Amino acid sequence: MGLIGTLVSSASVLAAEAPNEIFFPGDINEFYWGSLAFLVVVAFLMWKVFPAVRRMMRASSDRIAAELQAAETTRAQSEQRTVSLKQQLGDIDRKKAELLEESRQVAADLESDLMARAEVEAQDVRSRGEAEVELMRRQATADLQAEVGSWVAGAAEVLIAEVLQADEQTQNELVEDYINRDLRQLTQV
Amino acid sequence: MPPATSTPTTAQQYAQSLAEIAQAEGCLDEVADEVFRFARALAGSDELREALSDRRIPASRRQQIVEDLLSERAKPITAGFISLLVVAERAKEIEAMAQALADYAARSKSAEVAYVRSAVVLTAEQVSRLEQALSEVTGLNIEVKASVDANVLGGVVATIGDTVIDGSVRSRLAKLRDTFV
Repeated sequence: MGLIGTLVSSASVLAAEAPNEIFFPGDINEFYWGSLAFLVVVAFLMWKVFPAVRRMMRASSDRIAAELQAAETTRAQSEQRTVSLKQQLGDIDRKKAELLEESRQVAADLESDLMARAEVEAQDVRSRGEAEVELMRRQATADLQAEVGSWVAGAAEVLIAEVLQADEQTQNELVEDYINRDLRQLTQV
Repeated sequence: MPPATSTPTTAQQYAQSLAEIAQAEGCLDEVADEVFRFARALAGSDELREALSDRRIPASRRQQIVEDLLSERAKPITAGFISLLVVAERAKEIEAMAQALADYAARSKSAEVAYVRSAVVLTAEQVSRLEQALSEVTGLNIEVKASVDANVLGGVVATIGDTVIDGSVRSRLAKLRDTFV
């Protein structure tokens, strides 16, 4: 800037010292030196500043493009992720439906199996109950028969003992039957 | 009468001694029969059995009881033998000795003893026919020793060794009871 400042100052001084008679209302030198200084400034700007500005703008543009690209990539990934999640969600729903259906089937099978087993067990219990009732009935009948038989036999014993005690003829007949008939029959057996 | 169950060895020794003496005297059958009948009387009378077995009663008194019972109903050898047993505190073994003596007497005649129990007293004729019938069915020479047993109720039970031929009313009632039960 020191050099440019010096040039501009020199051009202004020269232009102010020599007026001209053409289109420029001042000193023509002022025009020349002003133009020169302008060109120098433009050249300087084109040489040093504009490339830097261009590089800066390009870098900014590149950064923005990179950011846009990253955003686009992120968006694409997000969309992909969204699609994947939706797909997974669909899979989960389908799996859930499958599991529910499988659970229903298992429950139905289990219920059917339990019902069948319960029916078998109930039948078995009924059969055992009927058998036990029948056994108890037979046992009760046998007990009653034995008890009645015991009573009858006891009563018959008492009655026969009393009758025989007073009936000598029957006693003798029993002895005679033993000698003549029972003895041979008993020994044949 | 069933086979002896109490001290058979001692009973057999006593019975054999008496049998040899009675055989020498020529009255083995009578003595065996008298001892058998006394044993049956003893078995049928708790009072007599206890009196002859009670050590608190003096031996002379017990001996007197035996003599009173047998002096006019049995041979002296029988009364003497039973008196000896009572004095020797062996009254409880008289039944086993009677059986052993009966067996000895029967064997001396190549016979087997049939112990016959009936509810009533058998006549001599019935005993004779019973001996004959038993001999026929068993093929042995049977000699009957009869006794009265009210538990028979009616009919006859004959025991020969281990064989029992039971035609008693008691056994028929038992079968009837088994049928009901």
